[in-house]
Amino acid sequence: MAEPRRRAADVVIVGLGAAGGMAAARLAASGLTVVGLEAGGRYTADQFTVDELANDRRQWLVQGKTSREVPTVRLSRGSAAAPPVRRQLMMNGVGGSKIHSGCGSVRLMPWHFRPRSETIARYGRSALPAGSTLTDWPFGYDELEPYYDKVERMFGVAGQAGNLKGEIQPGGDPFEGPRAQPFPLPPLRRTGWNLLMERAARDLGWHPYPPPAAVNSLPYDGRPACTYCGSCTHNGCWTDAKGLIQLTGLPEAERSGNLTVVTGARVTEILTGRDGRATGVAYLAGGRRLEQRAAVVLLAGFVYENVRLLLLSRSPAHPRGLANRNGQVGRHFTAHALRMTFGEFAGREMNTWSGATGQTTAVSNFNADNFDHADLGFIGGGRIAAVMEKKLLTAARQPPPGTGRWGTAYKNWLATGLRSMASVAVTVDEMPHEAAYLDLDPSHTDDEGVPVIRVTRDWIDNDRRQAAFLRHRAEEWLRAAGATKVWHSPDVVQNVVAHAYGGTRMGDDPRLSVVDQWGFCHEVPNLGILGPSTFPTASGLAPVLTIEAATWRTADHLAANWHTRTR
Amino acid sequence: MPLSHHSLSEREAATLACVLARLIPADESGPGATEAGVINFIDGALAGPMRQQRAGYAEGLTALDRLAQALAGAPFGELAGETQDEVLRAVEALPQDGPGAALRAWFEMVLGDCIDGFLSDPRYGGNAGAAGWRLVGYPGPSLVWTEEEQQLDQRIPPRPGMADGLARPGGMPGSGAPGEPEPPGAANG
Repeated sequence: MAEPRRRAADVVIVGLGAAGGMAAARLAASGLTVVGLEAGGRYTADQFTVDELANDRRQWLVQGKTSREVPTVRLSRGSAAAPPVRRQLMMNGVGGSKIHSGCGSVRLMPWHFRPRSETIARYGRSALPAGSTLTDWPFGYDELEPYYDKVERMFGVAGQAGNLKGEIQPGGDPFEGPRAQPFPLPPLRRTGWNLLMERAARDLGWHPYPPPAAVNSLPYDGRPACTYCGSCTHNGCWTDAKGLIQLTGLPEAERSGNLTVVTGARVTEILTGRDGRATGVAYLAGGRRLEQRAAVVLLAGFVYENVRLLLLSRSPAHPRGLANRNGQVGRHFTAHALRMTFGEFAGREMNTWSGATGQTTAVSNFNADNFDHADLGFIGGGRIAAVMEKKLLTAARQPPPGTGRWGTAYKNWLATGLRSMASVAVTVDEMPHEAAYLDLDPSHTDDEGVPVIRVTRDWIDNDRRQAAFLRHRAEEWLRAAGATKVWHSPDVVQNVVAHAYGGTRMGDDPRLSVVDQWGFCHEVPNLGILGPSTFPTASGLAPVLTIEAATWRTADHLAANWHTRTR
Repeated sequence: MPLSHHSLSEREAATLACVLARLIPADESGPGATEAGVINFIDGALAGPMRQQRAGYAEGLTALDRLAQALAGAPFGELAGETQDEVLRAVEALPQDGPGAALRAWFEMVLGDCIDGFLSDPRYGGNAGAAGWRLVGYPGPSLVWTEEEQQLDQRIPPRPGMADGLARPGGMPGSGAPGEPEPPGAANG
């Protein structure tokens, strides 16, 4: 019996998160017919409110596909993989996990696109960590700058320029790459905590700045300004102050008639023809197996799912999985662990309960190669940032060591210490290396009996030293601001996280990468892959703006080269 | 204390109440878990979003009584407060692998649920009279925070009506009412 199928589209996109949503919006605007398949549903502002129990503890946004396909983890080859003890919230839905993020929208620094060359040039080849597969990106900051700018304007990113056409601007990040234009919106409101840490950073000779966020500091494009409810993360925005593709981009694309969105569509396989080219995808919806044919297939799930679908899509032309002739699918996986350093300011009310996540004071002094690594024993660095949004139920689980976790002493800390606690977030540029990879788990499956992804990864010494260094800087910063006590969140490898990278690395050499600089598979020229699975490195910053900018660049490339890509 | 959802038997509830009273005790700083109705929160959750933990709760309480009997010669609820603390410290110190691992994990679950019941929105059944929020100096949730409320050293007065729960009407999905989506497993960190 013939399987039901829809009319063939120009492009079918698997996943409508930050990457797939942007591709759908741009390709539909260029006149192509696009079908977007999204495993989750649609979410609207009236579903979101300040409720930490429902949002953060019970995580009501995790439902459906993502909760049934949790990757397993292990630290090294040969040990047994098991479901992760800790994993971060990730959701299905139109708009993807950006919905429940703080929408920090940072550009990578020029160094982040050339970490290998720059390291060798400044410190010599011996400075590269043993076993590292660190590499340069196939394009540089300058090539992405116009797209960063387009995305910032599309979503109304709030921030303070630090480098305008090469001229350093007061109050911004002096280490950022040159930008052609200022931000469309001024920074979010500065809080007492933000300003305290700004002064402390200056006292230390550092360069504090308010990092940019796709959160309205003023009304923008018909959406209202942020009201600082303190519940950006693990939650959507109750007032649509976040810049999201389902609010800006997708509505226009759907109205044009060029974009068809199918929700509740769980893609199971990328289909290929006898010539090895992609012909479409198979998906489950409403209990039925359906097919969507298209001239171009764009894979825009998250890191784990992109790799999984390639490895599951075996065929005579692709016996090791799609685009995996050289065994590169799943390689170069890396991730950001969530690391926090806490300070107690005895006797003070810190009032960090509220906030946009984007109400932050950050420094880039210890990111990238903005500091001399000569005697440090590691390369790379990351952002440290004084953040708002102290979540009550989460913070109450993190008393300083020695306080006691229950009983009279604990209660005394609840009464006096919790209000005086404030947080610094530390991002570590965790490096890709040979022993870290994703593959299909031979013994764990989802509810359909299909293998889930297995993550094999531990930190290398470079990452441990970098993390220790950055935590020391966070501690130094908190002390300079007057903290009477400083402590850290547990430092453990986290491999199922919302900042994950690699698995379908982009590069010029097909032996060492899966996709080319535009995101199209070396082996399957009409199959594109979008998002951080293509990123060659993690960097010391959050990914979403780079995901969106790189996707826009890919969409422009595809529209301009349609006939060569689909021939 | 009468429990509205009756997930726990009277005996189970009595023992659990004794545990909760040691985790966050009433003292001169204010009401503890007992006065804040944390057991109501747990009893309600065990009938809803935490129903999968119902059996685990009962098994843990039985194991706790068994350990109390072995260490101190009586069921947990019949021991003096300080002896109860010693038993709980013994549970906390159980090895992560081996026969005591389940009881140790149970203790971590109860401690987490106690914190949640003490400090989450009163409409979930705990934090009665916003006692937990008053203790920690949290003024209650709000969709709008003013510039002044984000300054250092400002004592923000408790928001009117905070003991009644969220200001926003209608609530949201996943709030624990029957028929709403299951929460994820305890694996979420």
